[in-house]
Amino acid sequence: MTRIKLPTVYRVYAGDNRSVEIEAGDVGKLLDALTQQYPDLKPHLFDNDGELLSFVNVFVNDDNIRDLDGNATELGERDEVFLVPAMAGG
Amino acid sequence: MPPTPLTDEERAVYEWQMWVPDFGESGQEKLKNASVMVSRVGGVGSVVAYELAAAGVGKLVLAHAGNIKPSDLNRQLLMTHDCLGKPRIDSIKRRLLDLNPRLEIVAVGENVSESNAAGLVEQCDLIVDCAPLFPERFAMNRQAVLQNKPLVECAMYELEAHITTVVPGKSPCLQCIWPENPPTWKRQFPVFGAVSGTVACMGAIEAIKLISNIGDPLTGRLVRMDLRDMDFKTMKVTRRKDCPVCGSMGEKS
Repeated sequence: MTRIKLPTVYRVYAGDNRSVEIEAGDVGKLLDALTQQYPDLKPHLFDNDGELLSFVNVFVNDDNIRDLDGNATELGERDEVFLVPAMAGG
Repeated sequence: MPPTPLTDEERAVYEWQMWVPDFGESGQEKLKNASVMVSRVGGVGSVVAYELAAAGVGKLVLAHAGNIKPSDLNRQLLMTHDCLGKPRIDSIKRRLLDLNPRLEIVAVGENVSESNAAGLVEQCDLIVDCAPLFPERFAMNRQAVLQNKPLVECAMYELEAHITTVVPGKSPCLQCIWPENPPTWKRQFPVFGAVSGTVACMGAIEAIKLISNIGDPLTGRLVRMDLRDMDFKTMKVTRRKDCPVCGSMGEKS
């Protein structure tokens, strides 16, 4: 199982969970499974064409999936995935 | 111009921080001769400015509009109850000079925008951005890149916060990391002063490190913290070749 850590702004769309564990082989499948489980989260992660929104970063452990293989980035059991949308509170 | 040396009074005030071995008197002189811009001196920026004033930064350029409201007082630590209804920038200036009367302050009673960002950035060596709206942050980011000045980005929401440091041409700029703002972001957000103050102190020490050239700044690294469970994570962030702001800059070593 891969643990996905959810930022505060998304928790309301995901049963108030701070993290969710999902079994998936890669990041694309993981995010599909996450948004199937919590459909209200989908418009906050993807645009109408199914592309990840520009203000959301997805990290596998320390690395942005942009610098890995994007949605095809493979996941192991001990990997942690972080969803990091922009925030500006000051 | 040669740097202005410390006075005996300054040696006495900053004695304990000059005991930091790789900082010392030369580090203190660098702070004295430095100028830092703080964009919005609210929940985060108040504490950034207060820490930098306490540390002996010579000049602060401060931008913040509006009058003090009761709802400022849970976190905007330079605003005081007796000044409710009066300009925030006046309270900011007064409180900073109470702490450090040697401080030079450029106090601007307006928020950062595309029209004033260039002139504000021209007056400083580095910027700490603490603004609550993306257009303000994007304007500052653009000017930091254009004028080649380091920019510390501190942001928070509820019990969560982010911090990273932009050194133009060397590390990703704000719009490399987040090219666009979330359309749902609002100016008002849930906040405890202890959360804005936490990321503010981290921003202040980043500024002190950059000026005095000690330690390793958060260039190419983003710290994401969730104080709800004290979960801290440092992630790698990289430049985008297609970044509309810094993509055309060469890579600095």
